[in-house]
Amino acid sequence: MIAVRGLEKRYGDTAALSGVSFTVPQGTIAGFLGPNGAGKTTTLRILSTYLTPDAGVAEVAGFDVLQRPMEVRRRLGYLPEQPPLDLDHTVREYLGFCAAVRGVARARRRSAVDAVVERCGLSTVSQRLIGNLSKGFRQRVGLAQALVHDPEVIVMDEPTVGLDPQQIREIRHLIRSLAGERTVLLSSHLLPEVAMTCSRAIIIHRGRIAADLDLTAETAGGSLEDTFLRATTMEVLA
Amino acid sequence: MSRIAAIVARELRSLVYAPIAWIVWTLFLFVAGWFFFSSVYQFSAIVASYAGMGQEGMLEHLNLNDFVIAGLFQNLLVLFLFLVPALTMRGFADERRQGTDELLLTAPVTPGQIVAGKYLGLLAVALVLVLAAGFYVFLLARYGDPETGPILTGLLGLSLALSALVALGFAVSSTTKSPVVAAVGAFVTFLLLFVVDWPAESTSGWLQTALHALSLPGHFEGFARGTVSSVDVAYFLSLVALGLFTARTTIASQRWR
Repeated sequence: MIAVRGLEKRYGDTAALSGVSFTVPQGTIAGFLGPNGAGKTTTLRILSTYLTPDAGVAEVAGFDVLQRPMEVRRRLGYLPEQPPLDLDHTVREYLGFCAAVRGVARARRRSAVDAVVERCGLSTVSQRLIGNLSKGFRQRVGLAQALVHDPEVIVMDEPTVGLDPQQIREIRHLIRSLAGERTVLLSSHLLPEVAMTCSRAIIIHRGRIAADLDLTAETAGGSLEDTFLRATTMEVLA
Repeated sequence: MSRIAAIVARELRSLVYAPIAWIVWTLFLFVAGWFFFSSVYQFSAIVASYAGMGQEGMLEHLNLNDFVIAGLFQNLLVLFLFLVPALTMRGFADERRQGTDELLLTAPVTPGQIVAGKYLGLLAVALVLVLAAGFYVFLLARYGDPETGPILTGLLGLSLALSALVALGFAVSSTTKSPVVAAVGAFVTFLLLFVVDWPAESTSGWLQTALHALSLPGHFEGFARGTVSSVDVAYFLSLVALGLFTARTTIASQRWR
């Protein structure tokens, strides 16, 4: 699970997060929704232990990101906004490295890479250099590195941005297949994205949580849209 | 341990595929070969002219070690000044530029393990240069009879100097996001270590001692001439420690921006 309480982060004079709190229970796929610049990437970076918060508490799989970062990292799969790819390595070399550095035992590494190559539809390109792959394939390699060590919690920053509709469908399908034991938090600025893959929508606006919705209870996508627009235009209207 | 090994292997792959390693190795072989050729050629010309003048007695004073090998080692040291920045510039700067620092810093490895792995990978590529230098000297030993002692100490000195320069170059690379800035920064840092004792002769007392103590070629000279002093060894190892500590601290602090 993911639990965040009163998270604050400033970059110089700009407040990126001013008191963000939410929880994602185990086994849930939650969407982190908000306009550009709302604080999505900052929140996810804090959860991934890439950045530290100025105030507040963030826990991943029951471990505090400040107190026990190594425990968090062992249990977390993270796809940053820009997939962290070694462009001059082959897909297989790269995923092998990701598995090793995340502590997958040598004996299990090969099968872990095989499994994730299969799952992310990379079989045809597994021996190619990542730098020669199309954007869609690169995104899948990014997803594969987040899954290769079979993490409990998966955090993805804009996993479908820049892809064509066919690729978006494939990634969406892949994300839905992660449901079950795992906890997934993915960010997006697109409503349909979240509506179609997630059972929860957490809406963030200007560094604050504006709404937290159970999508299984909502009947139509329209109501999510209403809530989103209401939440993100509140201050403009007020 | 296996995580450090994984980082070393990745670093080696990157350097060899990039292909920075090949460029550095090739340029080194080319320029070092030229140094070698010209000093051997000069030496043989002098030997021939003494022999032609019927002054065989003078040949007793001409020594292959002093004339060719010591000079070659010192020239190679200068060559490192130019080649090591090219090798270390990507170091950590390129991880930041490509966004792969986000992969390393969110994996269950400590900044110390990241630095150790990347440093060992870079060092392995750099030490190939010492092997290459050893090959030239081996040719001399095959056809002449130089003393072995100064050759071995010279090669040890080159290895220590490379270890220090690679550590410092990597430290510079850990402070920036731009490989070009890292290369220029490393070059200037190295250059300062090469020229720091230039005003030493006109100073005196503690200042003169300090300037001599900081000079990199000053600490290398003994190795090229065949002596190993613990002070010189300590100098290079201190630079390694300084470089790695700086890199580790810089990378660890990145999280707290």
